[in-house]
Amino acid sequence: MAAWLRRGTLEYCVLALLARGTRYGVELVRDLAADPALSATEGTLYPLLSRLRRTGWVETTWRESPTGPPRRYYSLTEEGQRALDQFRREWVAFRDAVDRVMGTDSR
Amino acid sequence: MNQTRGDALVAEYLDRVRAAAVGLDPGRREELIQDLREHIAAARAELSTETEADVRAILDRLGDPAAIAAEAAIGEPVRPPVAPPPPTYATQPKSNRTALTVLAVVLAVVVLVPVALCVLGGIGLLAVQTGEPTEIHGTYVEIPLPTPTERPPRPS
Repeated sequence: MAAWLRRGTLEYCVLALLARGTRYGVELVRDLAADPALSATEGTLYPLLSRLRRTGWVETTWRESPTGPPRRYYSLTEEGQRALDQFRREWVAFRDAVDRVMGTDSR
Repeated sequence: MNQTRGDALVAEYLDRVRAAAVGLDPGRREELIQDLREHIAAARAELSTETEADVRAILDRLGDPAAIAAEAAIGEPVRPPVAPPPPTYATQPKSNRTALTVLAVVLAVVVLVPVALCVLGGIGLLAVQTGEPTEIHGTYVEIPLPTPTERPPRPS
């Protein structure tokens, strides 16, 4: 899978995970890196999270942890939610069109 | 396990990331190191008893420092679509539109004129060919038509 295609899509996967609720950074990158098809290591997700922070699509807050140092939690901003909504609409049409051209449409 | 051994592994790993990300803006690079350091500290804190293998596993999952640095080097953050286009592109659509208009006019002349001529010619030909004998007996009989001699005479 072309790296640029995977990367562009991964950002929205992060947003989608955060749409389900605020996540602790370590947990978030573990979830994403756990799927080998996404071929992201945990470390490569931090620059991605950093970009999303600077774009204003996610924000972070510190919370005390029962064990160890305070944890940084990531949550979706309203702007991030709008970006995710738009991606979801465009993604379905895009995926269907690519499937039709590729012949990978199973329907 | 010996805590300092784990610390040394982490320090060594972060040094490798820092070296790989040497081309990065210093602020951005330190932010990246800080993110990774936090991750490592939190992941180590989750372990009830830490072994060297545990620390290595945490670092392995973080991945290759060069890959992390490469990811961090990717240009600008994703911008929301409201960002104005650069000025060089501002004139592009206009000139394209002008070019398209010219093309449309040229096509209209090149294609439509011959088509129109063909249609007119066809109508003329039809007018000639529809000069059937039946019409000769009708109101148009006074129009001299060249066709009757070329066609079989109709039984009367």
